[in-house]
Amino acid sequence: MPNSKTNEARIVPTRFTQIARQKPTISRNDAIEAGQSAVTELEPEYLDWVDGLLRALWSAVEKAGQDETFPNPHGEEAYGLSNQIRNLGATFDYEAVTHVADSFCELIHRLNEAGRNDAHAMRTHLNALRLVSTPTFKRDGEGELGALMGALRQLVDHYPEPDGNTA
Amino acid sequence: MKGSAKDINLKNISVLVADSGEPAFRITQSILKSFGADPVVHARTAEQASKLIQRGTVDLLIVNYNIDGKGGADLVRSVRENRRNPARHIPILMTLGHTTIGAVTISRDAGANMVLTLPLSPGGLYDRLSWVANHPRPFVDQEKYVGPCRRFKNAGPPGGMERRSMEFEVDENQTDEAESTAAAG
Repeated sequence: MPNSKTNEARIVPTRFTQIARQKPTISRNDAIEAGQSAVTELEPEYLDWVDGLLRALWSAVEKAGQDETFPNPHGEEAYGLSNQIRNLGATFDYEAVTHVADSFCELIHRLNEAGRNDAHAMRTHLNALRLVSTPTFKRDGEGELGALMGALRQLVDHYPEPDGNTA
Repeated sequence: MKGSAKDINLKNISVLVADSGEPAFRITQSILKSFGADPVVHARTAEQASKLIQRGTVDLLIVNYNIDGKGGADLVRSVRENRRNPARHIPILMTLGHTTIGAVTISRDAGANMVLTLPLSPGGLYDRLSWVANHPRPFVDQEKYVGPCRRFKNAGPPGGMERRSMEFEVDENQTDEAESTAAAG
């Protein structure tokens, strides 16, 4: 524990700041170009990654539905997995995946805050995620996204928005 | 982030990415390596991360808020508060996916330098690393908070006013008073 009598407030040099300010540097534009190329090279792995996460998410949702304890560890696990899927969708421009996974995260967040469990709402989100995760949906189905999100929104809005709000 | 980012050198900066997910690590690692950082190491749990940080070879920590449930903030706090830790002053970025205002505040109050919302973009990451490198903040070590000074703004001086000369001067009395007021509230 920090010493309560200490009132230290000073700039502490770190190896990071020392090296980062040395030359040669990489320009912002060069860094962005290199970084975007690096991300593009990973895109072929996207479908396998999402597939693995969906399988783990399915297991977590099933267990969460059978566990009435609070806080529900399987619900927390589902939140983390849904977060990962959301971030992958956003990284590789699977817009529908991002929106559905984000809705799933919000649902779990509200359920946790309310001390509730809703297996039906969670399974509905999971099935929606499986639907929108395919390249076929990305190519042909994103026009249907509005209707899908509207339906999911009704499930989420059944639970009050926590005081912290979503940023 | 206000203003254009200054160019930085990340060659041979050692980075630890603490994240439960392999895909998130691979993406972060690829971007950082493309910037020149090396090595970029993965810790899947907060315990793993803690052990690696204790070795004193980590220059930068990027930690996901949701590692081990919502264990990211606890990890950051444990790094900052451990006086035997040679790496307690290193820059720490907290990554958040589904973001709540509560999570941002918790991250800041745990001692993270900055919060990064996911998905990670090369430009966003570069800008934050440049900011941390070129705008060092005093390190506060108090009973209620340990970490980079939280009293700073990106907004610049109010319109029509000159910039204060001691931008990073911390008024500890005001900080304590503010925290007492918040605690009483």
